[in-house]
Amino acid sequence: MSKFVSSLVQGFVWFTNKSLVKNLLVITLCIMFLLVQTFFPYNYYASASRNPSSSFQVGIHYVYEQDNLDQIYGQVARIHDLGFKAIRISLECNPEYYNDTMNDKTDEFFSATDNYALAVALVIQNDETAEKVNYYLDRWGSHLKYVQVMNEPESASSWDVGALFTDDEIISKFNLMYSTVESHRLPAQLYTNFGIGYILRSNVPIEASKKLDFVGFDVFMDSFLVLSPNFIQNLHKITNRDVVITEFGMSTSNGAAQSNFLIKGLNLFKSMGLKGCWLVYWNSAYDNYGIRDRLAEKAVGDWIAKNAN
Amino acid sequence: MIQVVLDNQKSAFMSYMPPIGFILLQVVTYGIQPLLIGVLNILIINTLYKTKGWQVGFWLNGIFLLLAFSTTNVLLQITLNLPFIPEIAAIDIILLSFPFGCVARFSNGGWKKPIC
Repeated sequence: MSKFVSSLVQGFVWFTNKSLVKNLLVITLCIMFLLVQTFFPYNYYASASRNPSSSFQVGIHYVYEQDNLDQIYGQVARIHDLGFKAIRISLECNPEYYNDTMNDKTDEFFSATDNYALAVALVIQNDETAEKVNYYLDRWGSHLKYVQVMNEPESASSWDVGALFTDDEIISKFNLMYSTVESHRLPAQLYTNFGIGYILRSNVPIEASKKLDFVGFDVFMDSFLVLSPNFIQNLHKITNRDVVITEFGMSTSNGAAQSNFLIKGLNLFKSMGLKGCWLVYWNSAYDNYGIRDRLAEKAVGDWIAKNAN
Repeated sequence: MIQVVLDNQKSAFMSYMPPIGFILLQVVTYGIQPLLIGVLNILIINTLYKTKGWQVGFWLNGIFLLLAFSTTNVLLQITLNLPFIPEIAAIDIILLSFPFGCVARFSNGGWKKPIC
């Protein structure tokens, strides 16, 4: 038997010792290694929950400005009842008129989130002015748990659509917004979110993260979900900050596809040991991101009940 | 060693006039580094086994070894949930030196007879 094995091994060595065979073998193995490096992290984390006892915060972006004033309190209650622990909102207010409907909506929103003890993350968009941010933070800043300084700055448009911010523009805008927020001395944690475009402009997260408590990563497509473990690990490595999924959603009219995508992602991110994942959106009037009254609402609620604490 | 040096220089590379720094990092990681590894590997093989020439090109041999090494590290880092430095690097040096050596020997070779 051992003679047979020995001759088999010798035959294999003799065969592979030919230059042509060895080259082909090496090329084939290279392709296999590349595929393993690309797909193994996703498959490993997605296949089962690797971190069942870890805490995991599920949040959602609520576009309350699209709802009527009398709907907002009930919607926040509904979000709370589904198990969400955080609500992300955009900075919406009218600094010119104290009792503007938009300001009333914001008052109503914070009254509800305070009542249900929900953490609120405020998104300061790239085109906001320091005056408006000051007004907002003076009036509602104490309700905030997280403040997002700029939104995907690496791919943001500057003076026109398609004209990206230059590095100098991004960093000076970031510093202006950062110092505006910091001047209010809020107990909130600061973060900035990035899309996969950060890989080409890595100086942006590297520079910005020096002043941030954590960084966000946004995932919108199936392909990006599959590649997200590699991007997340890289973002964590270059910024040395915890990564939270700050925008995760899919705009599709197919409710089942949206629901499956969200559950796959939640399983993946929890397995990876991330601190949290915030979905986009609860409601969205102009696209199909919203999960309200759709299959995904129940599916996500059930997932939170089983997996998030 | 090269991996550790590149990891340490990653931020510096990526901060250098993006995306030029990113492209340079890729050129060094997947262009120059494999060439060096490939040349080193065949030099060792030819010295140890008294052979001449090579069966697999320097770059292909180097990229193969680099991918074999980095894939093993990715698998270890993810399944064991450990960072590359110092745990995985220690495992590489203490436990995997011999298997990596065998893979390096298998991946290329010289010829006993002089090549005409």
